[in-house]
Amino acid sequence: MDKMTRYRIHLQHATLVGVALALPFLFVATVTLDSAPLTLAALSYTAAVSTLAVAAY
Amino acid sequence: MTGPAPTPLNWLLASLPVLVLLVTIMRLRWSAPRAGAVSWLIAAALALWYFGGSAQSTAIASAKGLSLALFVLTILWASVYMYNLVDRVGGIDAIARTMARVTEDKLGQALLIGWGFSSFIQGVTGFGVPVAVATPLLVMMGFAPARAAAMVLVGHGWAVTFGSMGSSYYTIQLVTGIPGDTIGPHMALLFAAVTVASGFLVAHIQGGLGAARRGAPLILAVGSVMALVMWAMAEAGAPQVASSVPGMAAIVGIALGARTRLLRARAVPAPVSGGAIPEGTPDASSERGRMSFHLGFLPYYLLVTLSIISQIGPIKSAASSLGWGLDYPGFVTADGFVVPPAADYAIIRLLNHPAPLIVASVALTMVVLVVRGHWKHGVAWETARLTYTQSIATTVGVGTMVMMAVVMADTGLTGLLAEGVARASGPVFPLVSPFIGVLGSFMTGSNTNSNVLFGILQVETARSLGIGEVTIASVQSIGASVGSSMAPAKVLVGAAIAGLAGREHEIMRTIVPYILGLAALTGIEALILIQLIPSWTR
Repeated sequence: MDKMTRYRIHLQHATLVGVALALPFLFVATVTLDSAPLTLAALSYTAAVSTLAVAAY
Repeated sequence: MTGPAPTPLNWLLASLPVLVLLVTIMRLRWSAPRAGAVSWLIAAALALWYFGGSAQSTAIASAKGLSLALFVLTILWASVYMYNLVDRVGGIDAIARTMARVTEDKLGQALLIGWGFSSFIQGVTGFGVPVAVATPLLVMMGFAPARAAAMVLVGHGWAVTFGSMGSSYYTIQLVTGIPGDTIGPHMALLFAAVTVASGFLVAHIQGGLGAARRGAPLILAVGSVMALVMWAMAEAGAPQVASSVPGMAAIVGIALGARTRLLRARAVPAPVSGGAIPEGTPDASSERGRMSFHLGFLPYYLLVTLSIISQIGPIKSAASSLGWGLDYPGFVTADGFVVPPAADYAIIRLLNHPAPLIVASVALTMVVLVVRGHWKHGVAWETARLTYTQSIATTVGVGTMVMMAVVMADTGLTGLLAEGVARASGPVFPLVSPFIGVLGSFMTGSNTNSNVLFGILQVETARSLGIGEVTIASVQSIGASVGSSMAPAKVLVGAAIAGLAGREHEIMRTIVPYILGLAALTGIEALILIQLIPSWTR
């Protein structure tokens, strides 16, 4: 397994963890706390995870 | 105003996330997670900056998408784990070898493995596993690799919607909001013709029109039983086994029928050499230490039993409050699109969701395996690691695509697309409808994803045309079910397992006409029903 493949596999694991954390982050920020800045942060976080998915897969 | 204005520019922009998904998967050959992520980014950007969504509404829709994805993914993880566990302790080998010894007739073998066994496997696992398990078995029996893969791909397509413990079925039910006791039996009835036709198509792939004619009595008899059992399961409130139980019925029916006049006339015995099962292959149940068929099958027996028990009135009502779901607030976009609040969205109920039942079946199976001495040290952990590795890409793919679909739906984009499709197709929409399902599963590789992408669109189109929503929702899933068989991912699995890597087009060329034929049959069926008995189709 070359270095690049290994790097991509790590990225894939990181993306999975990122997606798993997106739901609680989005829900707590938007519904539980109903906070505008946190909602924006959660949405930005989800966008960052999606960008990571583009690079990882 | 109840959503984005139906202008050509709006329609074009609303279709952009889906178009990007299509182009990136089909033309650029991107993986599902990559294409899904880009599509969600586009959908979210359009919602935020063009279609009147706010950060809050887009975040709520994305969270709802992930809730819905979790509902589906728990089924996927649990069923893949169960299959892998059974495989690693030797259960799949025991099941497969028993199947291979049932009949020597080539047509009988094709129907048994390509139609019955693959459908049963789809019923309990799915996600390409039927192709991976049944294709090598047929090749081992002496069938040409491309033909073997084609028979399995076409033969199990009918079982996808209610397969994987009903994950695709639950999705169409959730996204359309049509109650399960309405859409389940309705869809099962519509599946009847497709189920029987699939048997004929497997026979046709095996030996042309002659084989289809010779197998007709058996296919009609077994297919009718399968259709009846599928309907009964859906009607009884056990849709999660409405593919696996008919699959089991098919295995038993073909095994028994292949030894009677239903198939015996002009039977062609299987070759004794050249790819057939090696002579002297030991009997699975008689060889010391090797698992018996029934022990290998135990988790599936348990699953079916638990699924039926969980639907018994008092048990079902006692456990109805046990579940996990999130409450989401409603909102209105700047374009006036109203999304109502959703309580217990995509709730995972303890006894009404396949995942807990699969976990219970696995736990009981582990106990039996330990008692019977078939347990291997460390196999549970090894299986968990394998399942994790196999599920990473699917998990991210389903998560991002479902987010995209819900963002589109909750911003009024799906409704806008539906309006455009309705205007373009008009009275022949029921004919077009299954092909939309086919397109969805072809481009995403999944019946579930197709239902998420197009389920709401199909129902809203039907609503705007004033035709049967229940039939159209069913037809969406049936089209997606048969269409998933020609998804590149599944064909690639079939090609690789049959030793045809790089020659996928050979399989594709064989299966595409059959699958489009099944979709056309579904469309004709829907058109006739909607015209003749419109009240039943709503």
